[in-house]
Amino acid sequence: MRKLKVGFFLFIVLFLFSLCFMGKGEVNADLRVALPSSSHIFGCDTLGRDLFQRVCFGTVLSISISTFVSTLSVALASFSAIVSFRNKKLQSFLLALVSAFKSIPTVLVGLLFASFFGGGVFSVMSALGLSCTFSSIRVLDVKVKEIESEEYIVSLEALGLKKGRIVFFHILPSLFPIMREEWATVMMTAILSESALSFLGVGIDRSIPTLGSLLSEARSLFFTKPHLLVFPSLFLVAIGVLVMVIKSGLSELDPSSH
Amino acid sequence: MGNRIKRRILSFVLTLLIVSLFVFSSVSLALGDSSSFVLSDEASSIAVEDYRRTMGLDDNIFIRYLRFLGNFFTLNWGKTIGGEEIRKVILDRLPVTLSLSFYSILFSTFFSILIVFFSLQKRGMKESRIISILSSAFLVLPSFLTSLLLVLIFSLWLKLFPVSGYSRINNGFFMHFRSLFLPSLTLSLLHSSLMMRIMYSTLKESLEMPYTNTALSKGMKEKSLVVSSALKPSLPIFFTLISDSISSALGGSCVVENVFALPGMGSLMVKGALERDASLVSTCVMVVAFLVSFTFLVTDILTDTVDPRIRRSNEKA
Repeated sequence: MRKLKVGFFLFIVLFLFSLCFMGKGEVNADLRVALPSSSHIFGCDTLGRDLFQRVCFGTVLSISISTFVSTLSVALASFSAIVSFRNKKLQSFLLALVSAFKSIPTVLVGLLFASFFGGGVFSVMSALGLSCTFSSIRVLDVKVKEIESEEYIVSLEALGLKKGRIVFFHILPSLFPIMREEWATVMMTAILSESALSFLGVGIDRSIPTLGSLLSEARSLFFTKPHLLVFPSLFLVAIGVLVMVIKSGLSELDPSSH
Repeated sequence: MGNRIKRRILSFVLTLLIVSLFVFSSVSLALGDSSSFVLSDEASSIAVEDYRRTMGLDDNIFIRYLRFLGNFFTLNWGKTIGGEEIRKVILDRLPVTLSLSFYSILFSTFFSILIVFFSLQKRGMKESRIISILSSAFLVLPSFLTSLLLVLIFSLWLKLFPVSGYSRINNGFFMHFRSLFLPSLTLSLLHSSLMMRIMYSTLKESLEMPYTNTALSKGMKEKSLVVSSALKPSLPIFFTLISDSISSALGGSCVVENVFALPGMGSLMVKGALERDASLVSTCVMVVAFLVSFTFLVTDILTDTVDPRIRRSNEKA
């Protein structure tokens, strides 16, 4: 429990902190690749823009995109998993879709969408959402199938309870632990895939600073100006570590895992 | 058993159909009618109609889908925006990605087995923590960061491996392996995270089974116990893990090939996506999906035939 609280607290602090200081920075030719100083604590990028503001912008973007994607895909996945309760045909249909999407790695869906729509926030989010929804359906569907054959569900059915009631009051609560963990897992995938796509230049618009695009700008200057690379990657790794902490905290909450 | 294999093959075909349907529908949804950007705005309606007829765009959408499928399976993949044959480009680049994936899976299996066996020798809280910390660390580090770090350590400080570039296998295996060592190491860290954790939990589970106790009480040594009685029942899971790694290797190769400037499928797809070459990227995605689902098929069939527990339950069914 303590782990979860600390993880969530730090996660929100990181988000709010970045939200306060985010900005795109102003171009200043005199400050090109300036080293960290008291006025620009992270230094400046290749166009003389303040790196600290840009890193904060990227952090906010990365956290909000991944939260949105993970919430949406887990919600969609749980909805479809619940609807498929006691419905063999729907279950096998979902299974076929899931195994089809399992064979396309997430980053590739992003590349595919980028080649159709030319990148952008919408294309990245829909690609990640699509891929993550199907991977969550796989996890949740297995759990629903497991619960389906449990005795307490069979006895409820024998009592003549309506399907909707069983689903909402008995199946959904037992799905919660898995949903929470899946939320954190999808979040991790979304953060990494989004930054990878931006790093490759096929993600979010070039004019918007993201952690991935900051890193890809810094790549060629890695050996001469390491600060350009170190700060964005520290923030990216920090987000990742916090999500991992939250995930392990969530899994400790699950009573069935003890 | 024959029944089960038939079912697997059926689901393999179904998977490919769904993937192709997805790719086809997104291509036709996003691009609509290619006449609008191939021909100029001033083109007469007759020219547009002529173009549509020659490209077969005025056919029924179902017929177009069938033609798309037929073209894919007869390797008639069309041309890139630059005018090169897509088939030639892909067949040229596929071996690089495949050998990269092969080495990375080899490395990650090696690492995971090494670390898992080390921690199983001395079971305790501390050792299982090592696994969970290592696997979380590998998961959190983005592959582009790991690759830059590895370049810094191995290429610039130790000067053991080239910073980037690819050497064909014809130029000697050693040079080839050397050029692919760092990229495959990066990729292998990515999937050894999952591999390590699952291997550890499976092996530990089978070490806690009653038959292990029996073997112990009969005087079997702890070391040989892990190999002989714990490894065997968990082998099928290793197959599944390896096939999962192929999918992650093919996905991760986009980033890694880009960083190391390798002429593989991943960098081809990124180039295609940057140039908005939809036909190139969609063909690549189809090829990758084909490869991944084919490996899943092979490993499924292997597990079915190798594992006597599954074999017996199938015979009963």
